[in-house]
Amino acid sequence: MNEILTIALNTHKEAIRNKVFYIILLFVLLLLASSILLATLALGEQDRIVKHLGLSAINVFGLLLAAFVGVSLVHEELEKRTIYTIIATGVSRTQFILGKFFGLLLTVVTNVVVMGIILCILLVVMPGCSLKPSVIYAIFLFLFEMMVITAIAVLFSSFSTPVLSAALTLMCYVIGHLSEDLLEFAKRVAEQGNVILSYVLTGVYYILPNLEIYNIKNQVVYQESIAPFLTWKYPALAILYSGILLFITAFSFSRRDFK
Amino acid sequence: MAILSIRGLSKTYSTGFWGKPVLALDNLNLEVEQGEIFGFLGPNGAGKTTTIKILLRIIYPTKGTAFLLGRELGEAIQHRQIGYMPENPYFYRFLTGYEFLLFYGRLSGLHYRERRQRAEELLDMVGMRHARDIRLGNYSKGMVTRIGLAQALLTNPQLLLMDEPMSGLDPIGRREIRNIIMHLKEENRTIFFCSHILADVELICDRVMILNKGKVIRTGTVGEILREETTAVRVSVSKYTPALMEQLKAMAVDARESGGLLHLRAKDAEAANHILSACIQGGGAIHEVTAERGNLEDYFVREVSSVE
Repeated sequence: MNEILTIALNTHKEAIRNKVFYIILLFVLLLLASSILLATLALGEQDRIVKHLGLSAINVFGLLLAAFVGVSLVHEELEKRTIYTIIATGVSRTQFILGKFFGLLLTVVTNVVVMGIILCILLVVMPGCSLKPSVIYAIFLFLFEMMVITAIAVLFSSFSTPVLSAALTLMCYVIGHLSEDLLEFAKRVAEQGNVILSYVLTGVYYILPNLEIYNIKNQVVYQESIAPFLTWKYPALAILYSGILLFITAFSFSRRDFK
Repeated sequence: MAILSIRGLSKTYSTGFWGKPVLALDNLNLEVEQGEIFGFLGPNGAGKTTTIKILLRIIYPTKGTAFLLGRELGEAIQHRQIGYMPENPYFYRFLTGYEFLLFYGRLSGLHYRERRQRAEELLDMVGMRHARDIRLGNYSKGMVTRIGLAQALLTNPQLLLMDEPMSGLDPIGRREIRNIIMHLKEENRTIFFCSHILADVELICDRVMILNKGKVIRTGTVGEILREETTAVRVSVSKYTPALMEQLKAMAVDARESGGLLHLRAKDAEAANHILSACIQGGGAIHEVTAERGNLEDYFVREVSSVE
C-alpha cells in the first residue's frame, strides 16, 4: 500500500510541477469571459448559459487532462527507464500501475473539483443565476466518467506510444458517448441483413463503456428531473469497469520485459 | 557464502515484426562471494546489462536461474539488501536531489526519520550537498551519476549492482566513486559492476568476467589475467665493463645504453634470470628489474577481437 501511495503522490507532484493546473486558470478565464459576454447577449438566459458552458468546459478540460497526461504516463517511465530503479526497489508491476492510475486520478479529481467550486461560486454571485444540488451531482457523476477515461488512458499508455494512446482514448470517449446510438445502429444494420456488422457493433457497445450515463448536463440546464441518475449503480459501474481495465493492464504488464 | 550465484542463465529477445530471436545471454554461470568487487566486462551488446536486469526482475530469463543473498529469482527477494545503480540513469527531472532520495527511501520502506537522515548523509558522501535543492532536470551528467549512486546506497545494501558507475564522470569524480566503492568493500559489502573503463576495473576489482555476445570469454582475478600478459622482462644494469656489456647484449633481445645504465630486454623470466646471474658474476650492479605487461585493456581488446 505504501508503494502505491508513494508512486501516486509522486505522479501527482509531477503533474503539478509540469504546470497542468494552468488548465484551471484557462478554465476560469474562459468561463468568466464567455459568461459575461453571453449573458449580456441573451438576457434572462444567464443561468442556463453559465451552467451549460461551465459543465461543458469542466468536461472538456477534465477529458484533456486525463487523456493527454494519462497517455504518456506509463510510456514515459518505460522510455526514460525510470521504471528500472522503481522495480529494483521491490515495487511490483501491479503496484506500479495502480500507483500511476491513482496519481493521475488524484490530479484529475483535484482539477475537476477546483473547476467545480469555481463554477458554483460563479452561479452564486452572478445575477440571474442559481446554484442547485443538481449541478454538484453533475460534477460528482462526471468524476466517475473521468475515472474510466483515466483507466483507459493508462491501459493504452502501457503498450503504445502517447500519440496513438491519445487517439485511442479520445476514440473511446467519443464512442462511449454515442453508445446508445451504436446499439440502435446495430439493430438497423441487422434489419438490413448485415448480421456480421451488427454483431461487431453490438460487441463494441458491450465492450466500451456507456459514458452518456455520466452526462446529465442537459437535465441540469433545462431543469429536468435527474431522479433516474440518482443511483449508486452508475458510480459502481465506473469503479467496476476501471477495475477490470486496471486488471488487464497489470496482467499484461506483469510478464513484460522492459528493454 | 556466495552472495550472488548465477546458474545457466540465458536470455533470448524477440526482435522485429516477425519476432526474430536474438541471443543476448548464453548459459551464464558465476558466483560472487561476500565482500568481493566483481567486474563484469564486455563490449556493447555483450549481455552485461541484460544480466543485471534479469537479477532485478526488470526482464525475465529464457532459461536458468540466479540466487541473490541465498534466495532464488522469483522468491520474495529482500530488495532492501540490494542496491541498483543503472547505466545513464534517467530520474524524475521535476524532483530535487533531496526529494529524489526521499522518494526512493520511501519506496524502499525506510521510515520517515531514517530516510531523511540517510538522504542527508548520502548527499555529503557523494559530494552533492550543494545541489540538494536543485531539480534533477538541471543536473549535469556527472551529478546525475552521483545522485544515482546515493540512491543505490540508500538502504545500506549488502549487494550493490552497478551498471557503468563511472560513465559521465571526470577523473576527480571517478576517483571519488572508486574511493566510495573501496570504502564499501571495507565494510564487507559485495559489489558487482559493469564497466567500460578498464583502468578503474584494474584498480579496484578482485575478479573480473569478460563477456562477448552473451558468452563468457574469461573469468579470473585481475592479477591472474595480467600475469599471462607478461610479454618481457626489463633489466637495467649499472657499473658494467665493456666486456660484460657485450656478454649481456648477446643474451637479450634488445639493449640500449642511456644515462650510464644498460637497459636490456629479456624475452621471458628464464632469460632474465640468466642475465641477472651473468651480471652479478661479471661484477655489474642490478639497477632495476620490471616485468613488461599488457594492461587489462590490451587483453580485453585482443580477446574480444579474436572472438569476433
